[in-house]
Amino acid sequence: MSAAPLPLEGIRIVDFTAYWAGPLPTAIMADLGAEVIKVESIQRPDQFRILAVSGDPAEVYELSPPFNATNRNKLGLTLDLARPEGVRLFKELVRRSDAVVQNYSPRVMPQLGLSYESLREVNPAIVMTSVSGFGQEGPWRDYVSFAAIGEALSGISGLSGYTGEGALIHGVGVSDPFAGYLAAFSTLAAVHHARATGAGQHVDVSQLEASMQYIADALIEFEFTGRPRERATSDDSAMAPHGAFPARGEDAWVALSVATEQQWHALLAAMDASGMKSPEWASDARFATPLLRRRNRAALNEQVAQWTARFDRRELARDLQSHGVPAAPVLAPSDLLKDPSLEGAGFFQYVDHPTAGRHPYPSFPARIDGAHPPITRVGPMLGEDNHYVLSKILGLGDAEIARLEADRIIGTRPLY
Amino acid sequence: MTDVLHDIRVVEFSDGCSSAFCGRLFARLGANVVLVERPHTGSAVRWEPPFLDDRAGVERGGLFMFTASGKRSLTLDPASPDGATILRRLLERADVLIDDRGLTVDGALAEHASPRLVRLAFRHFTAGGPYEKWLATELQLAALGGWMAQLGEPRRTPLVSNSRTMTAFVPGVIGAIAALAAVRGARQSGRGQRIDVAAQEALLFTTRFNETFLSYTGIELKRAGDRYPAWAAYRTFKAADGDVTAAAATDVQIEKLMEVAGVDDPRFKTRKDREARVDEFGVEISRWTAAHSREEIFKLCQEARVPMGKVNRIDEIAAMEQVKARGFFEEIDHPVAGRRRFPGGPAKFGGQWPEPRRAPLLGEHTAEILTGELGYPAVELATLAEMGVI
Repeated sequence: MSAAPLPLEGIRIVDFTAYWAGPLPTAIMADLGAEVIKVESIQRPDQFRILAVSGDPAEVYELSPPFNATNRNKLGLTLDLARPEGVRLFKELVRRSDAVVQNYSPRVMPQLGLSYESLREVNPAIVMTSVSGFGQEGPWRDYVSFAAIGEALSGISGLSGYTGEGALIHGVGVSDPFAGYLAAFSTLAAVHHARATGAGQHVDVSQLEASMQYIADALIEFEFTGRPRERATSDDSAMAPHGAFPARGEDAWVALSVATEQQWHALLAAMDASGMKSPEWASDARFATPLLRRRNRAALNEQVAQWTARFDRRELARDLQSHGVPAAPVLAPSDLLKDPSLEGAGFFQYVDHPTAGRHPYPSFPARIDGAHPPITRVGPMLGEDNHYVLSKILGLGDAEIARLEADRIIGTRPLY
Repeated sequence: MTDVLHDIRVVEFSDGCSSAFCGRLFARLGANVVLVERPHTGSAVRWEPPFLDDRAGVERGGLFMFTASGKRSLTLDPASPDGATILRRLLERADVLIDDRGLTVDGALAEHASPRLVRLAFRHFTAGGPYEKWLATELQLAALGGWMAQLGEPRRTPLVSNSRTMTAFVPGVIGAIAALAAVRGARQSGRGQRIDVAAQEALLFTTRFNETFLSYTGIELKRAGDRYPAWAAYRTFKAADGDVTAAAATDVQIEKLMEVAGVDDPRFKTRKDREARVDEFGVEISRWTAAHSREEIFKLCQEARVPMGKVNRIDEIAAMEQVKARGFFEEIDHPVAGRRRFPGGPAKFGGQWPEPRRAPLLGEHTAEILTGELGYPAVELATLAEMGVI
């Protein structure tokens, strides 16, 4: 792959984040070439290091797949921010950086003496982006949130599940990346402005508000028609059949959509060609028009399912596509690691980690001049780059760094 | 200061919701975004539901009004020689081209555009790959992007959420991030890069790194219905008037939840105990939730610092006290729709939301851009219109 220059080279970001919604935007900026310094402490490492893996925290803190994936391309620094020395060094980093991204509760930064106002005194051009559950002000600002909470409150859970049944949890955990993406865009926009004018600002991203933006269609539909949309097994009011249908084998499914009359006839043609005689139901008056198919969807789905269940999901999808019907196999993680489209694009990059070994990590999903931005390292390990950051960026001498280590302001092993 | 991108010019040549959301993000923060639309019918997003009072029309589409907020509309037939010239001249002055109509595949464009132009293209699947020509709605993208396998009951039909924008906006924001980064790169180097976003990849990047997890642990995570696999209190519970969602992850949070719910039971003393008896634990918590309203559970838990959410219906969203206090929804006057409420965003800058701006009427800015910015004499506009160019 060509080594295209990365667009954010020369931008430096201080990353004081944990879990997913905060580390994700900084990972994106790191992928795009920014120098991102992830600040943890041996007193309080990122909880994502231990939550996502089972085992003794003191043993597994370098082995968390989501931590190592979400903090790729970053430098690892530890600083005890509960002590003035740590805070002073943090501010020295801020002096030399474009932005700080943090996702702690709104109380935390001021408590540490690191409010936006105090960072601005050090560096008027600094952009501070705060990602939180509910925003920096308002009655819920101190409430706790993880992805599923943002999904519940924002309306996403109200749209996620089977018709007439209860809310389900998104295994994808969408609220965190939804907020993280808007945080990445907003941070870069504020940095763009700060580089031109010398004026930084505080950017305030809420997971709840971010999540609402992604379901704009449902929110605007309510505003425009007065109809509150609900959970639905088959998501689209204009199409039938439309949904995942069983294929041959265990937990094997094909997602197919019939949006037009032409696609309906293409579906019937595919059935014909599959050696199954055009079934009686194809000429059934209940399925004669799109509206009728929509109205009699339950009966239609049952009939389609009986047909799809005979075939391999990939072959069936290819076959339906060749007839002009939108169709695709439902892919699970094990399928995705071997998916030919992703493989051809080099989407998963295999990267070595000193303790975790070699594993696949998803690329930032955009190709720049034809290539995905490289993942040169994953992790980082706790405090892995203390020496580099303190000496090369802050100009500290070896003796001083040794003293910080002796005082446990920095370190490489968590004090669990 | 919210108009932080006021010195960036974007030309959006698009029909899809991903491009439309991408352009919206630029326009919201003050970029000069020109949406190039077809004469008469306009962008395809104008014909996406929901519609004002359920009646479709070129100025009645709610999704268009949301995504086109703050953009300017220019109508143009790029297939006509004069139309192509106008488009080229727009691109000479632009920082970013957002394209999902295949303009970037045309070699002639690259020759004439400014060298610093960032060319952002959206497609469903990687060009040259096995799905390149596949037809896809959001459903097929969710299937191939790893989302469907993560929503639904374990042995039942996998699902997508009942919102098309939820999947369509993801590639849009990814493209916006990459393009904005590339504008910065182009201002440094004088050379704009080409950015390609495939929806399949954008969706997959948005899952929880399940493939990496599988490689590390040998465990394949898939949909687990109303819960996140193996976590005792990361799941929904039935309340008296609907559902609530708990996301208690740490031991402290789970123990607080037990305290609030009055569950004092030796069977659930340690994390190990709870994970070994996930279902029994759920039964005990459910006993408490079933006796209380969503609102009570939400408040009692959050005041005790337990991550708990109320599962809201769509008609309850705008009424949340936090949403009102923050002023997230904005009211916008539109000549056809009247005064309407839209979601705001993307974020607050210095405590301020970006200014609410309405979507353009079809071709509203054609004359302004052609005469005011590209220097066409007013008299030529009539000729161009007559010939169907604009």
